[in-house]
Amino acid sequence: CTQTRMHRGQILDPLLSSSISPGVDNRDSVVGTLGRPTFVGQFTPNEWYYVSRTTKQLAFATPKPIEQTVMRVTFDEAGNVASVDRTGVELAQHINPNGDKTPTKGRDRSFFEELFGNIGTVGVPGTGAPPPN
Amino acid sequence: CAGKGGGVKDTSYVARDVDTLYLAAQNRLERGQYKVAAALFDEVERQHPYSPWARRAQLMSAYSYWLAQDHTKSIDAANRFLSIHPGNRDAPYASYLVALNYYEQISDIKRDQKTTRDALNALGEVMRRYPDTRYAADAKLKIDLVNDHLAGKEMEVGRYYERAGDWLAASLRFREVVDNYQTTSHTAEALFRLTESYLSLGIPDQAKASAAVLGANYPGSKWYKRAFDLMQKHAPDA
Amino acid sequence: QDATPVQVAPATAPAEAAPVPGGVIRSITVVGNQRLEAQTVLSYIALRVGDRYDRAALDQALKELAATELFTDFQIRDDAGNLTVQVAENPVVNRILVEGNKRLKDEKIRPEIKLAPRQIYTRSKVRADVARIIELYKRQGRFAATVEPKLVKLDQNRVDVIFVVEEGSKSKVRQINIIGNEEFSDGKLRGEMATKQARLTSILSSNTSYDPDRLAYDQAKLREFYLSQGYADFRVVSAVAEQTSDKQDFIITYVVEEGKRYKFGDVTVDSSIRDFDNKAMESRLQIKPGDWFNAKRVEDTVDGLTETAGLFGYAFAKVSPRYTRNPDDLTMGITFQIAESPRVYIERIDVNGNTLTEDKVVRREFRLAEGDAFNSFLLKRSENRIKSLGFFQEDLKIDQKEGSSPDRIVLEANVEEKSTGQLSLSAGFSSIENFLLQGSIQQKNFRGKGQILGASVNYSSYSKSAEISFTEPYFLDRTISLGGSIYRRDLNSFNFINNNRQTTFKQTTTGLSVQAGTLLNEYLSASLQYRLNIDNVSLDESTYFFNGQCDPLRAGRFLCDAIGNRTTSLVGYTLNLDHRNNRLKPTAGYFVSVGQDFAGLGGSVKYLKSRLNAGKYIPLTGQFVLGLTAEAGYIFGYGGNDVRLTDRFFLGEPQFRGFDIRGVGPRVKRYSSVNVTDPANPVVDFSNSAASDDSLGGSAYYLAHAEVEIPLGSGARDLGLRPSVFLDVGSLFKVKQPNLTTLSNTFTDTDGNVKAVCRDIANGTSQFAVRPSAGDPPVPATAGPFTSCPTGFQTILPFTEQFFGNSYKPRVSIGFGVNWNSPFGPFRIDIARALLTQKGDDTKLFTFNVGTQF
Repeated sequence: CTQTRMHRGQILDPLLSSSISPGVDNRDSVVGTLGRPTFVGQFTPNEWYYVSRTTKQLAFATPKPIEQTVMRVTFDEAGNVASVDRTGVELAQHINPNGDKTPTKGRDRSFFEELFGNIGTVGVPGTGAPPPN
Repeated sequence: CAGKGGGVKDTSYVARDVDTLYLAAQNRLERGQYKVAAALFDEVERQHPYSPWARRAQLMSAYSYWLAQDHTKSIDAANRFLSIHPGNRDAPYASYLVALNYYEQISDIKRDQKTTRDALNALGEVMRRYPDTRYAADAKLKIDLVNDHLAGKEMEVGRYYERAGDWLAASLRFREVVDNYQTTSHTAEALFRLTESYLSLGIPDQAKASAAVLGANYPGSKWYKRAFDLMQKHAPDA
Repeated sequence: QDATPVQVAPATAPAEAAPVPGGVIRSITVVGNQRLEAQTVLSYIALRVGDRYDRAALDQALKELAATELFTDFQIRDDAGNLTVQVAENPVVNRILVEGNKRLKDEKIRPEIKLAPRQIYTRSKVRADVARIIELYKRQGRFAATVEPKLVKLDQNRVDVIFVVEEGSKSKVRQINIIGNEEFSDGKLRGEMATKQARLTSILSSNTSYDPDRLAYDQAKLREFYLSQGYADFRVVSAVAEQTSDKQDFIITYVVEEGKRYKFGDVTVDSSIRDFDNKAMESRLQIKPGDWFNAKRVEDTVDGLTETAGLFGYAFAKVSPRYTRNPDDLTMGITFQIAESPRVYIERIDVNGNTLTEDKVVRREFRLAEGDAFNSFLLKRSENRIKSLGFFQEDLKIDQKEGSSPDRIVLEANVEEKSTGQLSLSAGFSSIENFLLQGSIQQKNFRGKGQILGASVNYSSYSKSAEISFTEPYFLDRTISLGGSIYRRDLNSFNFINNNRQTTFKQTTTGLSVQAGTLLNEYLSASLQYRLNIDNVSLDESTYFFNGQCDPLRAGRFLCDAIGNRTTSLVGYTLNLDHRNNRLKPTAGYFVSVGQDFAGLGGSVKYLKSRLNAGKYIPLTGQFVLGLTAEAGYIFGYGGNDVRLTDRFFLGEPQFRGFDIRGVGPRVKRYSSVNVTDPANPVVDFSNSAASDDSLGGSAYYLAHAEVEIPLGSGARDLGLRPSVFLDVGSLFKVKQPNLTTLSNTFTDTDGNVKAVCRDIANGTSQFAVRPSAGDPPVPATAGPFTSCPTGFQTILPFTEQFFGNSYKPRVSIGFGVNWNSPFGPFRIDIARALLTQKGDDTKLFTFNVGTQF
């Protein structure tokens, strides 16, 4: 009773999404029925992904995906739908994000600096600005 | 009288000839009283706008405000110089000074990046308008750092979404870094985070593509090693 | 040039050009420039050496020079290809002065002027400044004000700009007449308008001045009013403002044509969005055919439909009403048309303006994430959550910007941070604490991470305490709020001896507490807490001790048991279900909270304390709200030791109105005025005033309130008056009967006579007093015959104790109270009458407390 359900990503209407079929549709007709994709394959531009996921979250735990459809529409060179495939929630993996992070050059504000609220500066002030000649 | 620098020793409307005023401002500068020096340089420009010293005074006032770390006033003074003397040989220095003022105010990546974007535009301006000056070279260096900073902010938001379990939002943010900030030091980590996000979104082949690009461009980096391990563990047959 | 002020003459731009323009530019020279360099002037015009040029090119160059507004005069002379550009630069502004302003002071006008010293003087800037100053005067109602810019030429082509102001008089609206209105009276219509007639009563109000723009606004208000009453054909035929004979004020006359009153015809929804079926929409509309036509309700319906569309992700849906008027049966049919629009997804969420607060502190309040479908309900909730952080401006709105394509949207939270540190000092006086001083400092957004750091001190004759607290609302970035506090409390408990206070025991507590809480779902929250207290209870040695020992005769057995040091280490949980509509001033909904503390995790105190707390708020007719709240608690010691006095529940003022402090529940009353003239049968004065009364607390209690707040007219509410009527019912009970010192068991000798008791100061043995011999000092008759004690002995006059109030039967009180945020602070008065009491309860009719915040 205490789980909060959230819907993430595309709202896929099952009737509409099943109507997309290879050879019949092209880019414009897909946009017409489903709208633009959630994202396009980064290194594979003619693959369109529609990601729709429902998660359940108990209090402060991280939300768990309970139901999901990832619909991939691949287009051939001419822009017609070459293949359509759908995967469900079974492929979703449980990943703990890695704790390491790339340092940024900007100086992080020290504890006392934040306490007294002045804004930390990036470089040391006054350097690097030669007087006008 | 109206409109003079407020709160500074009363350099009110006392008409003095340009040399004494300029010298007074000069030695205040050497003595480190930057605010007073800046006000005196403003006086030179106000009382003798047409003397050759007026142009130098505008520049020196901008520089004095910079040393006094009063970035807003320094930017105003420099911009005023640029609006009157766009063709002057000191114009590159003035626009470089504007860029530096913004650059100094960049705060850390957890906060608002508005000044970072202003710095980026100002540095870009210096490189575009005065490409072959030494200021442009330094601006190039600083642009890379500013971009690195903006990329850092995107990564910070992406990591937040990962921890909150919004993997789709996270993947969109890391895509932003890979698409728009390839030259920064965050690209390797962004590709690794994309592998993480696509695996947890259940799209193994996109995860594989990201890991492959990561391996191709950053074969030795720790991020590729971690991406490789993740792929073995979660999608060996992808 | 001379230094006399000269009118600003528009610069002429003669363009003498050589009779036969054309050919190639051989050279360009710039003449007359003083401040600007030649190449700067050249950079503004397109002519370059070697270009072809003709008449049009020269004119174009002149236009460009004019556009820079840097020059008063400019010409281009062409002698066979050698062009000379003759310019005269605009002067530089040296000083700006304002003269002739009486009503509006300089500080008011100064910020409006954009022209500043050292800037180049341009006519457009001066004109803009003049317009801004006149606008200032208009807002003051002075429409006759005029502003003249004057120039004083100085050497080196500098100029002083002087704005000479004539303010003129203020013209008022003396009378507003309306002709042609049958349905509504002139007074009613005037009420709708913004402009008010100048009367004695409206001296202060600024909208009695005559202002043409406000007249237009009034006409629109009239139309809006009639439309909301169903008069769709309403028209303002004419609106005329004539000056009064003395040319001072104005009289305004409106001629209106009301037309017929319409009803709603059939109301339909025609939506071209895919999953919006019209029938479901129509059923939920508020407008029913046959109602009187009302333009306002049409607007509300439009907003409602846009909102519903937003719920389904159509952020940019356009809803437009189309009217079909039917003049013969006077009905107005409406079709709400929803235009085609794509479902919108969130491309990006940006937080701007947060120079102190961290990005995630705002982002984690969003109920939407990037990639989600737009949802206006979740957006509204996100907005409310960010606002309730209390770090940003009141009117925070999340802006919706067009994304990179029509079906993408960017949400921007442009925050303006306000100071989240609060320092509050307050002094107060209440019937409990007498004089009370309080100081607290709190930083709600510590280090920009949303953490709360607070320190508070308060001081009164009744208690002194200091506390430092820290809370992290999102521990480990999850919805777990983790908080802790360290505190020190000194409590002087007291009893009343014929109505003046006498401190009985002092309790000093030093302790720390840690609590973690989380939201299980939107309404149910749970929290765990650990608390460690080190208590030291002490009695005032001089009055209650007998050579170093707590003397039960003086202090009473139960007080002696209470003293000593103790450590309480307890862990507890609370479950809280909260459906109230507003936490501070609930008017509907209910809440239930259950909690238990288990003391005994180490420490010397062992008990289990359970608490229940519930409330229901029922909105009655009008704005009356009936608040029913109830609480109950039970504590029992285990492991062989009884619950100590300081850990038990106490009940009385201020929770139980109509009773004194700790006035309800088990207590021991000691009657010390005993008349022993006849030692065989002593007479005890049992009146309250002669008794000292110590409450023992109880291990079980229940208390319920029924309170109705009486909504007063808006006048009283402005004063901040909130009266309420209440009924309180409750009881405190269940404590072991303490062994009492009574006349019979301590002061009656074997011969049946009541005698004083003598106690050997050295070894504490006691014996009965004897008849006084001649040398003893005289003794009052009421002390009876047996009062003298041998030397080295202390005499204790006879008294008796009785035990009351240990019954679960309810005490009832009824009364009314007023909450008033008076100019010098919150003020609360309660007058309550105890209807049903048990023997021994201390009632109190009137209590109040006032506090000032400074």
